[in-house]
Amino acid sequence: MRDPGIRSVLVIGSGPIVIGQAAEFDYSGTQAVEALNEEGIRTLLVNSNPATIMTDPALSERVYLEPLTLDSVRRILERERPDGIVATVGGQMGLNLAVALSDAGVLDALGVRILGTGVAAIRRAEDREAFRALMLELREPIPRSVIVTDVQAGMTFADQVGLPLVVRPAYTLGGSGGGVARDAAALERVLSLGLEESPVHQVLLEESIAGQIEVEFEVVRDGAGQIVAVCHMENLDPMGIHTGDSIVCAPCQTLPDPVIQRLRSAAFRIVGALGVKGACNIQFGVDLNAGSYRVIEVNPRVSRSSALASKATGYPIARVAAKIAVGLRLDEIPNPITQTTTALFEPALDYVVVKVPRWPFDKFSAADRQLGTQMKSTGEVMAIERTFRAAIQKAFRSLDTDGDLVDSALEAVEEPVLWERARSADDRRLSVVMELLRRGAPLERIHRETNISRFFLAELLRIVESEAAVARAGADLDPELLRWAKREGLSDERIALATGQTEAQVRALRQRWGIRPVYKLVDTCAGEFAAVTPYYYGTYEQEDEVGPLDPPVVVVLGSGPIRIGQGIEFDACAVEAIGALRRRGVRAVMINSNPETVSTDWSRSDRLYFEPLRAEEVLEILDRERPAGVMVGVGGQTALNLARAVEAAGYPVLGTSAQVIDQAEDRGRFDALLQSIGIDRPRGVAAMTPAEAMERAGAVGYPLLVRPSYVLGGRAMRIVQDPTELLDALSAGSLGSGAILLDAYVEGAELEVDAVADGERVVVAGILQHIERAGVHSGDSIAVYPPRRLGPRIRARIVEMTRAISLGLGVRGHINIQYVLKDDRLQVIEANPRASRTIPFLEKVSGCPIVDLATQVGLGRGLAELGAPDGLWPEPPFVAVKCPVFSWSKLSIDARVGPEMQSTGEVIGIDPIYPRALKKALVAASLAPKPRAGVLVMASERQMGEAVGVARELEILGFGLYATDATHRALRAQGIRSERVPDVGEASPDAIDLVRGGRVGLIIDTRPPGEHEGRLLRRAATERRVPCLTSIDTARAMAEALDEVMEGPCLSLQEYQAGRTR
Amino acid sequence: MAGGALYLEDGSVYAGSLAGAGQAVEGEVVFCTAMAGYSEALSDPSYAGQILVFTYPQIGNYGVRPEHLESGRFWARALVVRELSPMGPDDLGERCRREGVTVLTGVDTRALTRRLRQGGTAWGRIDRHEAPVGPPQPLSRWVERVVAAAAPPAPSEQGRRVTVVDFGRKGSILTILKRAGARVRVVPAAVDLDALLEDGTEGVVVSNGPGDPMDLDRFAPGIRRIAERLPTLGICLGHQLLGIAFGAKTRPLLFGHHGVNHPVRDLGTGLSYLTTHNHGYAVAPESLPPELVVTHEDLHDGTIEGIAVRGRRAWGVQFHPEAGPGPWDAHGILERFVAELGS
Repeated sequence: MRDPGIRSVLVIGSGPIVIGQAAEFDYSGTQAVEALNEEGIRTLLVNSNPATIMTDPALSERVYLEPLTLDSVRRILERERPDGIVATVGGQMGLNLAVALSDAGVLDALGVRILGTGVAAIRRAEDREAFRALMLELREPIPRSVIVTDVQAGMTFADQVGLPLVVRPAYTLGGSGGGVARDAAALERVLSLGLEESPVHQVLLEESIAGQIEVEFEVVRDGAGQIVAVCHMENLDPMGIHTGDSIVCAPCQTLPDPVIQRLRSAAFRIVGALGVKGACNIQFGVDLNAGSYRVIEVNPRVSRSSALASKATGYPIARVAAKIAVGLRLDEIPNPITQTTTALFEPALDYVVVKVPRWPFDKFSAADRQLGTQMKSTGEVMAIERTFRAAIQKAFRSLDTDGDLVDSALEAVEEPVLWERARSADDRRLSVVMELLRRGAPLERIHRETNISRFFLAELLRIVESEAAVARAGADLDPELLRWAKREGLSDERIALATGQTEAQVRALRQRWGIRPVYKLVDTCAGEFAAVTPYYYGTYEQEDEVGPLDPPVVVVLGSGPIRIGQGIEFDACAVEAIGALRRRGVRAVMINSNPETVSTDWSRSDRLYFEPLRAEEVLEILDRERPAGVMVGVGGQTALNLARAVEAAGYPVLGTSAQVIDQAEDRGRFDALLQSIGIDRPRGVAAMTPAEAMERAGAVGYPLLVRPSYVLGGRAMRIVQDPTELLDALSAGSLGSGAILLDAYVEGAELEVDAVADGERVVVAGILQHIERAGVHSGDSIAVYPPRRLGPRIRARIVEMTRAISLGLGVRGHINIQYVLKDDRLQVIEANPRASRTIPFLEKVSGCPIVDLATQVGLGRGLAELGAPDGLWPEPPFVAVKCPVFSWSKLSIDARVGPEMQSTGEVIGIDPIYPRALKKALVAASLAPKPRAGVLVMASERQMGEAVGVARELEILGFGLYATDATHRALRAQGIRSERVPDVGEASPDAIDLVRGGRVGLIIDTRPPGEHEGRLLRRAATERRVPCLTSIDTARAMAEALDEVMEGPCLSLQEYQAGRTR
Repeated sequence: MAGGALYLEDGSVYAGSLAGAGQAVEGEVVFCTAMAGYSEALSDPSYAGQILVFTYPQIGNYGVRPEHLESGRFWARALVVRELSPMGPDDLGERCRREGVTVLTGVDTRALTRRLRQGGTAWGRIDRHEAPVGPPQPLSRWVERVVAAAAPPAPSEQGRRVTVVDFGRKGSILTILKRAGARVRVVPAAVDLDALLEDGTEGVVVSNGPGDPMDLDRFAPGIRRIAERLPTLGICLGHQLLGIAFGAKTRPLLFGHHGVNHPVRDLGTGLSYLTTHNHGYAVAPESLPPELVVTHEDLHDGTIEGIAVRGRRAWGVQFHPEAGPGPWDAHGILERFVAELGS
């Protein structure tokens, strides 16, 4: 029964998206809030991440967009006095915060309870020593291990047990700071890092069980002790690769029933002994030959895996966990899928689910692609099919990368190299395995070298064989063979490639021969009960289960996997668009392939198709649904790229047409438009070859911004100062084979607007001012709203230009435009006729319902009719700052901002006044140094003057300054005291030693990129979590924020929106 | 592989390819929602004479191992799957051929399952070409065959003396009883059960088995005499026969319970757990005599899943506490039964 003593609850979100803690917690948090609302509970939410659905002010009674720190949550608790906290849906962040609040005595003092799984259980699961003791008590097998708090103890253990050893720091996200050490030197290095990473300075060293089968169980237990195993999942990649970086399938494919039951029973014993009340994830290593298993890890909260399990089965784990937290039993919670049964059951699947991670290596050519115990992927895709081999092909097609499961570039690679790469396991391993199979390598040998189970390899071999069969038929492809190939999972694209046709030809053949997919329901029960879930996947079978929806129907294209440059913001936009459609009585049909997100929660839309965002699958769905329109503007570039195919197939794109999108993306046509309406943009040319680029660069003049055309998140974008640097950029090979764009680089202030146009009116939702000057990617800049020190004349000019461009292009819906302002001259950098990543932030702080307006315009209504102002949306009486958050430490890449986007997430700071809003954002992004910490300053010659100014302010604020030679001299010349530190490698100890020694709390390093020493220093800084600012503008903002010592008011978003400022 | 199809009595057709023994067969078509444990199910004598449809699409992924078998051979008449994985050891399709089990692969098993759910359990025929289907044959006639075919269990010397009355018992029942400390003996259903009152038996387990329990009511009086004198536990068919013995009736379910994810509530504790089910019949609630009390019920549809005889140490469970395949959550029922013997 629901605990009547719980009347109000604070839900803790997970903060910014970083590798290892991503959109899955928006999904779980949103579910939890909705589940609590259903129980009539007054729900409060705290999260510093504005790009989420859970922070939608319509969802919770009060949304606090505040830093997830002990101090700020304490203030909220003191003000709101809720009866309880739900901390298990906010990832490791939420869990750690709950423990910290408990330790600080805040909860006891305020009489606030942790609901669901309690602090004692969290501690027992999370604390390595306590967990190990519990496992020994339960006689559950665990890898031999030792917990160390210093390097020496670890080295001694290695002498006893031998190497390799796995290093796992306690209380960290996504295994950060951990790794496998194969030799003593590596062990020493990984150990000292791991100790540093762990907030409790504790590391688990354990026997390596690399090569075993990694299995996960998602378990839910209620307060009465009733337990269900919602899902079990098997990693295709054996133990040794982080499960977040592994290809995972559900249910387990290669484990006999007694093995599954043994693990399930072990999971139940462990979860029971811990006293979990809610969701729990348990990982096992399984050795089928030895008939043994090891318990690897327990996470007493919802997780990335539980989100995947929810989508894989249809069982809403976070929702059920939230209900349990307020006292309900599993058998008291209705199963929303069947509506006749309860949550006390275990889903049966009649399909195979495959998840494939999405890695950011296409953006970071310098990153180490080796996979191990530290997670590196930013997102994932999931695919559902009736066989493993069909599902994995579908999953790879969903990744939205240039690559595929079959990578033709590998055809040129020598076999010994392939074997080496198969063994060493980077992100492309499966394609390497496919290539080996294509060359006829023995399956048994691949199994031996990779430890990938024979079943999976046999399935991959079937893919190779089916491709070969289709290729043999070539032009003689007949209906029977084509139907068989589709059932095997081959895409039209692969069949086209194998038979020398175009994808459109294969599609036409299928249509002629009536070979079309059917859609089957995901119903949690394998058809045993009637279900009402509107959740479908496509496959080639006998019976279709999709009935017609009442018109009008609109299909919304999602954005696919989370990646740098196309993150959770687009999911937020898509979900909002769905809501906007449904509110107007339009059936909203969602297509997406990302299991982490809210948009793929089947209860969000009238119908969800879990399918790749590829022309083949999208067009098939459109042919089934016959929608009145398709929304391509809220799913990022992925959805936008499908606009042409959708229109060509005869389906109207709602709002802005494909032709307009083309015009905005086609440089020549866009330039012509700007010229015709008298708007400036930095001079630029397009070159088809590197030689042409070198030749035409001079005419534009340096510095230059170089990039490939059709970019996403500034991929492969660089600023070059002279011909030598240009040559270097051109020969780096990252520019692709298409046109190369060369633009004059204007080092001015960057401004960005989001607007909605209807062909007559243009409402500018807001102007965002970037702190960093142009040259730092807009997604990596700190943005301020409303803009500061921007005169009415410039504002008016921005609105006017936005109007001219929107109307000139013929935009009907979203548009995002970036401007650069220098010496009072406003120029356009780029315009994107789609929803942008700033919309969720801007909507919340401006109050302008951007997505709703754009959606209604798409449905044919005018802005005037909707009551939207023509021009700038009124600005609020407070300031909001959006600050990027990076995952540099996970990827071992240079922590330096530039024209290419690198951030994975964002946080917000809101306050009535700017410096405090800025400070909040910096604190939420973990950038602010502790008071009186050391600051290491290294400035470029060009910006020395500005750096001296920043240093002076920091000195006044009481920070101790360190500087390398040139900067030290410049500071001394201005009478600023600093300690001179030898630059990297100059002498010993040098700047790196200083950082490693823990004496530096902030680094300001604005020296030019490309210096080896700078990279090493920044690497050391990220490893130690020392914030490193590489733009002088960020540093200046930091100094200004740190100057603010007064605390602002503690207010919810709703209160800010209502105009309250104190 | 030759083309073939499953033809149901209502005229619906499910196309696929023939494998395994590849012969034309008829049987009662039932679907099982377990995602693993195909070896256990195929060798479970309760499936004797049935055409077994797996809702999980890829079956055979880890081959067939002797330790997973519930009896000495496969009993299902035929196996219908979306996909048969050719994996070792002892490839399932090959094993089915040797066992004389026809396999129909490539079938839209979800469509078939939906038909069975809506229209109820059906009689069907697997064949290369359409041929007349039926009439249905009673499955209870399989009891004698499965009992006759069962190999005697390995003797156990220690512990409480438990006699299993065999209607087509699964090996897991014996395994769990022995592990719980019982000295297990098996007698065929057809023996004079009164002998158990004289031979030192301390507890009796009436096993599972195939067919309609009402067709087997001739065994009920013997079971009643035992249950009135000795601690008795009926499992599945054994539970149904115990009910019949004390005056209850059984009735067919629309499409049966065949799976490993059925929640059952223990009415004593009020708590529920997951159990393995394999039954097309159940004790009819309206037929319950005063001597019987319901102890367990299915959380989904309220089916009677456990009964006790008032004033006696006799119980029946409709589900399979021995699992095999399925969750081990109810092992305790067998363990407690053994532990409490002689107390």
